[in-house]
Amino acid sequence: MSQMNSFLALQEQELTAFTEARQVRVRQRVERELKSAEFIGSLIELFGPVMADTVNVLGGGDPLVQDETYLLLQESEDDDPYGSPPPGPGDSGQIIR
Amino acid sequence: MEDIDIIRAYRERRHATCFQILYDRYSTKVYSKAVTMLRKQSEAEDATQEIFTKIFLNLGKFQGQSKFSTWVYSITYNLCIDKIRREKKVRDLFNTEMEDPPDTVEEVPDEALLNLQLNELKYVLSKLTDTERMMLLMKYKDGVKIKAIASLLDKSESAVKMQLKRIKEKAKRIHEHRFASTPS
Repeated sequence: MSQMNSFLALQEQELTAFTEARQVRVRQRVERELKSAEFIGSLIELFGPVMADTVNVLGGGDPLVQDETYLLLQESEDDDPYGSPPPGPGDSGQIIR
Repeated sequence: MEDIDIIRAYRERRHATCFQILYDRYSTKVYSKAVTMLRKQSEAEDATQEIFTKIFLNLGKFQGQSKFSTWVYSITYNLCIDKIRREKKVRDLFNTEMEDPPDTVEEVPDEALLNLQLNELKYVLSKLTDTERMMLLMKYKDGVKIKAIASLLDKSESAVKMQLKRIKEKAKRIHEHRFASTPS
């Protein structure tokens, strides 16, 4: 039986050490980094245009995205306890069974 | 299943299984090459992590014009060379002109190195410079072709051949000096 050459023996020794102790650890670290990169990418994708628009408006430009009108605080307030009750199904006062 | 099919599937669905298959196929090879170049196992481990992160983040750029393995190995070598350059480990890597005429170097047959005992080889490697060790391991451990080594080190093929010849001769001298009197 022929003996393995010394370089291949060295390689085998290194690879055995890697698969036993390091392979899984490195994989987990790569997975974590990829997830972080994906998360940051999603954030940029989600908020990037809004941030760019905000900077643009702060710089004196017109908003690029003409969104629907936003309600003011007073207009949107609907939790007045003394106001009329919210409209329900059938305001006739009958009990629906 | 071919690499390219797994890559396509990973691009479409980002499925963890595709990642796992590619990682299992190439991680040992990438690590082996990294440890050849960087010497320390901890550095090779960090490099392997960086290489795989880079590979998967740039998988969209891989068009399949070359083999996936070729692409992976070029990323591996480039990243390791960058690391070496940054740490200035091999100042002589890119300016090693041959000073002596080629015929002064004794031709050492490959078998003289291939038939060493593992502990002998480790000793010889420990006595070589980083560049010498790296070139020898690239050629004989990782099986990198002379042309590829020349391209990676930005040298001509004949310069690489000559340098390898010198390294083998030096390795033989180191071995003889240390082990000639002791039976192997």
